[in-house]
Amino acid sequence: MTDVTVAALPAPRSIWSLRFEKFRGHRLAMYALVFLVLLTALCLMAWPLSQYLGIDPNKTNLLARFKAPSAQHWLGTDDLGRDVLIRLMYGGQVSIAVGLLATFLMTILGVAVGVTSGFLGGRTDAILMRLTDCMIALPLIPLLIVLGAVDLTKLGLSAAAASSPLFIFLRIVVIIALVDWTTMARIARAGAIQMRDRDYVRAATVAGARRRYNVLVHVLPNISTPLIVAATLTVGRVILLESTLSFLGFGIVPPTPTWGNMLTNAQQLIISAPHLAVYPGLLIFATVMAVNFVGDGVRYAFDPRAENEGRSH
Amino acid sequence: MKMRKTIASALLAATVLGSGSVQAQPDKGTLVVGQLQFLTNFHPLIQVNNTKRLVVNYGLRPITAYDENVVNQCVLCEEVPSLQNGLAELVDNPDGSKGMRVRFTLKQGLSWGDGTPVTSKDVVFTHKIGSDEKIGFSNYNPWSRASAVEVVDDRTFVLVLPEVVSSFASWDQILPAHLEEPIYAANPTAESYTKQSLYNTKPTTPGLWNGSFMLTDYQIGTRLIWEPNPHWPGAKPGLNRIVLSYRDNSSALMQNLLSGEIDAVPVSPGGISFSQMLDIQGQNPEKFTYHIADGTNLERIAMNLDNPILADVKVREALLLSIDRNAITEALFQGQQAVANGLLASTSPYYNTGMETYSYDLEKAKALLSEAGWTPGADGICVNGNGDRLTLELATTAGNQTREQIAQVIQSQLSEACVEISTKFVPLQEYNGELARKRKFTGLVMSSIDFSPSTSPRIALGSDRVPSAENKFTGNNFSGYKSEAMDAALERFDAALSPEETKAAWAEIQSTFAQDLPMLPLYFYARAYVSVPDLTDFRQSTYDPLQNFAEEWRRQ
Repeated sequence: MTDVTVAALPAPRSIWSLRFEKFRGHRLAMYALVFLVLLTALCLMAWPLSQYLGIDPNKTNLLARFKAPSAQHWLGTDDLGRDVLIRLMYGGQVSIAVGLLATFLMTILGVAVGVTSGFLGGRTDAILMRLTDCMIALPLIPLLIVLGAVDLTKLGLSAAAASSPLFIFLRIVVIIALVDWTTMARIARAGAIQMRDRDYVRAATVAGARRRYNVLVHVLPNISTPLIVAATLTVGRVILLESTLSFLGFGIVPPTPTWGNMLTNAQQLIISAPHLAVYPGLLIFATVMAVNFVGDGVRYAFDPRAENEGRSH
Repeated sequence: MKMRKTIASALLAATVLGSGSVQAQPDKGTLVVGQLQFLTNFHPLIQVNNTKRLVVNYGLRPITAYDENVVNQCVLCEEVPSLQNGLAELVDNPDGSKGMRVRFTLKQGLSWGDGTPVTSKDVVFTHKIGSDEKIGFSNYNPWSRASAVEVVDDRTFVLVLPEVVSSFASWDQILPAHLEEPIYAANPTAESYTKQSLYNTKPTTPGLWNGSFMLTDYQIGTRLIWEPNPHWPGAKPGLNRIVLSYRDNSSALMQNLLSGEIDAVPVSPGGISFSQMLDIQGQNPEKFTYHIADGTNLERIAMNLDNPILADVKVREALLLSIDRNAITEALFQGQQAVANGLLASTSPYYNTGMETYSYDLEKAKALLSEAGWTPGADGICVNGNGDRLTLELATTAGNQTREQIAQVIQSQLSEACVEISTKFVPLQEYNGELARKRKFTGLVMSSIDFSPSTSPRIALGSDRVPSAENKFTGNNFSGYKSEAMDAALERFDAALSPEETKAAWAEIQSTFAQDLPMLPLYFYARAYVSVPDLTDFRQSTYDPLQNFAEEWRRQ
């Protein structure tokens, strides 16, 4: 008898581990991710650093306007004598949080509409898609102004609650989610239409599976790739949208800093203190670019046909 | 060789043409003025505000206007009426009270832009529509002060006033009866008249304008073009064309001024902010002329006195003592906008030097709050015996960066005195529509109010001027201030006919104001304009819009 040697099979690996490995191969995406993690960590250091330096980010000091960088004010002070670095760090917390939370909300909203529309089809699909078309057709800026001007006290909310910083933050998140969910809905609908006609979904239906089961077990996992990619690309856009809202006066109310309202405020100072516009502008730019690169990396990692794309970056 | 010659010729031609365009002289007959806030309607007497006055007065002149020496001048009339010259007289009304008769004569040759003479008929029509409550004009010198207009001849008329009013010689624009009367007859309500008025449907109609310039072209949101009125009987305008060029924001205005795309820009309202002007001045002291003069426009904080916290005068005093207004004007305006101690600037001849003033004094503010029952809690914010926090909302207009800056400084300074302020920035329309006008604010609102020489302080202090449904929300007493002493002083002011009486009434009003503090005065806007240095005869310091004298402007 001859001994037959069977080569050891590689340990089975999950799809997620394969995807992560592929993502790691996308150098730009990895650099961007590291940058985002570091930036977020830096922003989260705002409170301890302000305590260490003995700085209140909202306290104005008219005698210390436009101070150059120093041991206490590492990036100098702004037009009201406040520390620029600490405000950038606090502003980053808000801007990044708005970006992530609004994207999360609009993804849920868009997926709910899109999957319902695509999976049910027929009249439901027609109604929901026309609703989506209407939303797309509405001009963005006037719509933001109208939503921003809604007086919530008339809807039963107390004046104190309506003007609290937390509520204003949540309001911005909701407004952005409400006006920007349509892309997600379109993507989700296209995916759901493809999935509902697959044999295994039909088989499940014949076997007695309910719609909800099919959506949760068969549709959503299979359309997650384009959704995740779209969501990462949305984060950057949302940060810019928050800047737009701040510019229109509906954003986070000063003195609470955001990169958006810091940039807006600096516009007026472009002659005397251009650096005050450069800092938040640069951070918004870098964050949006980094998030886009990460989105690119995720798309690459999730796409089985994309090979060696990351190496070339 | 031929090729080389051709290239050389082309280069030479390009050089000549290029240098020609670079050295092209600016058109000295044209002035391009940068503006913000395109008018929502062109009617000169409806929804009037400072921005509209700065635009409409190029083409439509008031009967009288205050010049840079605080002297009331005739713009459309021959002579300003006074008791001394006999053109104004006191008369007894049938009920025994005193009234007035004020006689005006229009200037010889005054014409609308279509050649139709400006006559007393136009005055009669303007008075009729201006007194119609269904239309609701909001010009600063209301026509409703007169109960009738008696026509003496085509140019002379007598205004019959049922009450003695100190502003009897100040009257705003008149409307062309030959164009607007039929429209008014067919549209007797404010909404339909405003929509159908030629000022809004076809504002380039020459007959709508009686000033030295008339509107000849416009593009909504973009530009207005004013050109000389050929029928203007006064001095020939020194400019052939004034272009009002609109931008979305003050930063764009500033950049366009620096790049030479615009020749002049007003400094707030309707233009760049005072801080922006200071920035330009700091870096380009010679490139432009900076026309700066003291102003009467008061930036102030109105307080909702229905709020129990603010009903206590000690709290109001403490608020004012806690705001370092000197530091604010020094830091943000380099001290060029005067700190306000009251309703009038210290340069005014009617300023009361004997009234109480409130300089920054944090310790005194804390003591006053303590007397009022407010003591610092665990987090530094004051609480009263019931455990209520001393929290107030400060609202102002969004997009006005100077106001947003000052609101944040005040928030920060008041926190030192244990007062918690939450800021709110609302769009201008919401501010004017609901928040201030309908008194929907709970704490403080910051905005400006102009106490020009012909304006009665009653508009902001009279108990009958608290905005309400009864007065169709027309008052400017946003604080809801009601004081018998103030009302009596205002009565005396409105009836004052001599400078001495006016001064005495103003003194009383200012003293009562300083005691009651129905508003927190912050600073006076300087009247300012930035222009190219070749613009001359530019009367920046007039107390009414300088456009009333636009025919004098020249470019050397």
